[in-house]
Amino acid sequence: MTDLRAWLSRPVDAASLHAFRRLFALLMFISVIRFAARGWIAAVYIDPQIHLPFWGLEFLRPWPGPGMYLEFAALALAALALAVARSPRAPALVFFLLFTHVELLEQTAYLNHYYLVSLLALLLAFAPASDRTLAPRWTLWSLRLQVGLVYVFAGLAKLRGDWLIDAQPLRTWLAGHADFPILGPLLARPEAAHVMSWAGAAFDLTAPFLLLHPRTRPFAFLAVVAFHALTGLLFPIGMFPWIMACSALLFFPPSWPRQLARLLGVPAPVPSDSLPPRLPRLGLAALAVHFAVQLTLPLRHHIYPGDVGWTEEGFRYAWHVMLVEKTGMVTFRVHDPASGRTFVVHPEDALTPQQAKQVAIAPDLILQLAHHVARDFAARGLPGVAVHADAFVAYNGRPSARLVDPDVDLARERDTLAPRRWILPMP
Amino acid sequence: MNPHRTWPFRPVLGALFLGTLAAALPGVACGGSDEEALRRDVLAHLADEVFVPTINDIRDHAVALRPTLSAVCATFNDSSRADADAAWRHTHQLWNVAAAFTIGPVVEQMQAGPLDFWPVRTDTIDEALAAAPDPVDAAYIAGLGTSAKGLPALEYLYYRDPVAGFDGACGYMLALADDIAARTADIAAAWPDQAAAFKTAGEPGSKYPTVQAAIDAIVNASIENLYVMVKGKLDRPLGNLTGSPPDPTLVESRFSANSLTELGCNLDGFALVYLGADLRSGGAPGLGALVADRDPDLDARILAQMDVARIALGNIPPPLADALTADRSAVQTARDEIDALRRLIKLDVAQLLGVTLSLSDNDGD
Repeated sequence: MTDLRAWLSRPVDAASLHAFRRLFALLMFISVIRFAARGWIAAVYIDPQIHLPFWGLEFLRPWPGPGMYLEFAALALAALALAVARSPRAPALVFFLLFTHVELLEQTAYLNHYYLVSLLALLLAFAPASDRTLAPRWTLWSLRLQVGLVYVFAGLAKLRGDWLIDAQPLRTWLAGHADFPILGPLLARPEAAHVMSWAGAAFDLTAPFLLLHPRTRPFAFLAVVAFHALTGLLFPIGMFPWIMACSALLFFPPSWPRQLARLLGVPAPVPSDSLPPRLPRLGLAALAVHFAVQLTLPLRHHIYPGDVGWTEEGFRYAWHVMLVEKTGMVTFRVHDPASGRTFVVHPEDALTPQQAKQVAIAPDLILQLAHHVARDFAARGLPGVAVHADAFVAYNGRPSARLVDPDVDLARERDTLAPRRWILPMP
Repeated sequence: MNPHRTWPFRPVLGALFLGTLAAALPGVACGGSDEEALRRDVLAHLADEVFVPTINDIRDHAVALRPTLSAVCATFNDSSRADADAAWRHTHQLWNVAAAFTIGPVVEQMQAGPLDFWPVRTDTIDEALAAAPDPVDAAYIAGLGTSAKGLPALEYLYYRDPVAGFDGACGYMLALADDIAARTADIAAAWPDQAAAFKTAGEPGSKYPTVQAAIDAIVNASIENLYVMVKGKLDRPLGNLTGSPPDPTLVESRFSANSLTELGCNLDGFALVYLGADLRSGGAPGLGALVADRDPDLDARILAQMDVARIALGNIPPPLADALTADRSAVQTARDEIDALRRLIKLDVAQLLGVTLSLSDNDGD
C-alpha cells in the first residue's frame, strides 16, 4: 500500500494536465452555449409538463422561472473559469456540481458522454494549479484510467451477437448513409457494417493501451481522431467525439505541450517545482472507492436476467455506447374499478417529443410514467385505477414485439432496483 | 529489434485496411449503390406522381366549390345540390388523402388549421355567420379564427339542414369557398419547389441535406397520419380518451356523414405513399419498394395489415356517428387494426430504413 501511494505520488510534468484542463473547459463552454442556442434548455427542462427523474432522486426539480437559464449561465461561466483560473479546484467543483445537477434532473435526457463530463470535471478538481510545473502522478493517471475504462467497457459491451454477428445496429444506421460524400457507397454495403463493427470493438478494447505505448501512440491517436470524426459526421452524437479526441491527449507523455511549444519555437521552461505532496491515505481510499464504483457499475447488468439493451436494467452508467437501435410505442389502458370506466392514455399528450421517444423504449420509464398516470387520475377523483401498458419495441433489427406484460397493473408495481418480472422476454 | 514484436497490431490493422479498401472499391466503381438509386427513384416518383398531382387535384376541386355553391344558392334543387355536394366531398376526400403527406407547404404556410379545423364548433360558426357583413368579403374571413372557416365550417353550413336551404348563409359559404380555393392554390403553387427539394435531396443547398432526411420526412408524415386516425378520428369519438360513452359530435365530417369514406381516404393516402401511384406492389416505387428491397417479409406483413385495416374499416356500418353506439366493437376493431399498421410503420419500417423519428434533434450517446 505504501509503495502504491509512493508510486501515485511521484511527480510528473503538469503540462499535459494544464492543456487538457483548458481544452476540456473550452469544449464544455462551447457545449453549454450550443445547448442553449439550440433551445434545449427550454425543450428539456422548462417545457415538459412532467419530469422523469432518476431513481431515488425524485425530489430533484428544475428551477422555476428563469432559474434554468441562470444555472446554464453559471455553467458557462464555470467552464470559462476552469479554462483560465490559476487553480482548477473551485471552478471544476462548481462545474461538476452544476452539470451533474442538470444531468440528474431529467432521465430522458441521459447521455453517456454527459456522465463522462461529470466524472472528468470531478477528477479535474484535483489537477494542479497552473503555476505548478509538477503534479502528483495520480492526478494524471486517474484521468487516464477514467477515460480508459470508457473505452474498455464500451468494447466489452460490444462483444455480443447483435454487434459482432448481426452487425447491429450499425447495419441499420449505415444503410441510411448511402449518400454520404465519397464513403457513402462503401458504407451502404452490407459487409461494411461487419467490418466497422469488428473494427469498432477492437478499437475500443485496445485504444487506451495503444495510446499508452510510445510506438503505437501516433497511429492510435490518428485512429482515435479518424474514428471519432467519422462517427461524429455519421451520427448525431454532439460533443462526444470532441471530448474523446481531447481526452486521448491525456495518454501522451505528460510533457507533450512543452515539446510542442519547443517545436513551435515558444519558450518552454523546464519543470522546477518543489515535489508535490504525498497522496494521503484518505485520498487513496477515495480513489479506490471511486474506481471500485467505476468498475462495478458497468458490470451490474449481469445480475439482471435478459438482454441489457432490451430490459435496460443496468444499462445506464455502463458505457453501452452506440449499441442500441430501438424505437418504441406505448399507450396506457387505465381502468377505474369503481366506475368500470376504461381510458386510453397516449403519453404524447403529456410528454415532450424527446420524453415520449425515450419513455417508449425503457421499461423503468414506462413504470415511472404509469405511476404518474395513476397519481394524475387520483388527483382527478379516480383513486385506485389500474394502469396497463401496451408497449411495443423494435430492437436492433428484430421485428417489433411487446416489451411489457399487458396484463400487469403497473400502478401496483413498485419501482425498485430488483429485476422487473413484468418485462417480457426479448423475441 | 523485431518490429512485429514491438507492434503486433500492424498486420491486423493492415488486414483491416486492405479488407475495407477491397470492400470499398466495387461500390465506388459503380458510383453509387443500387439502393441509393432506388431511394432517389422513390423520392422522385412520390414527388412527381403522387404528391404534386394530389395537391393539384385538391386545388382544382376547391375551385369548383364556388360555382357549384352559387348554383345551388340560386336554384335549390336535386341537381344543383348534387353538384355542390360532390365538389365538397371530393375536395375534402382528397384533402384526407393528402393527409398522409402533410409535409412542406401545408406545414410551412400553416394551412392545416384554416382549412380543416375539426371537430366543428357550431357555436363559433353561428356567431361568425351572425356577425358577417353583407356582402361577406375576404377580409372578414381572413380575420376569423380557424374554427369558423375551412372545409368543416363549409360542411356544417351546407349540410346542417339539407331540406330548408341555407338560411341566409350563402354569402358566407361563398366567401369560405373563395378562402379555401385561395389557400389550396397557395399550397399547390409552393409544391413544385417542395418536389424539387425531394428530388435534389443530399445535394448542396437542398432543403434536405441527405436523401435519408427526405425519406425521414415522408415516413414521419405517414406515421402522423395514422396517429391522427387512431387518436383523433377514432379514440376521441369512441370516448376512449375520457372513459366516457361514445360522442358522435366528435366525429369528423358528421354533417355530411362522410367520416368512414374519409378514413378510407386516409388509408388511400398511406397506400399511395407506400405502394406508389399505381397502388401495386412491385410496380411504381413507393416506400414499400425500399422495405421490400431490405425485408420482403416485413413488406408482406404491411401489405396484409393494410388489407386487414381496410376490411375492418369496411365492417363498420355507416354512418360512423351511429356506429359508435350501434356497433362499437366494429369501430374499436378498426381502430386497433389501424394502430397495428401504425406500429409496423413507426417501429419496424422506421428501424429498417434507419429513420430518425421526428421527435427530437437532441444528441445521442
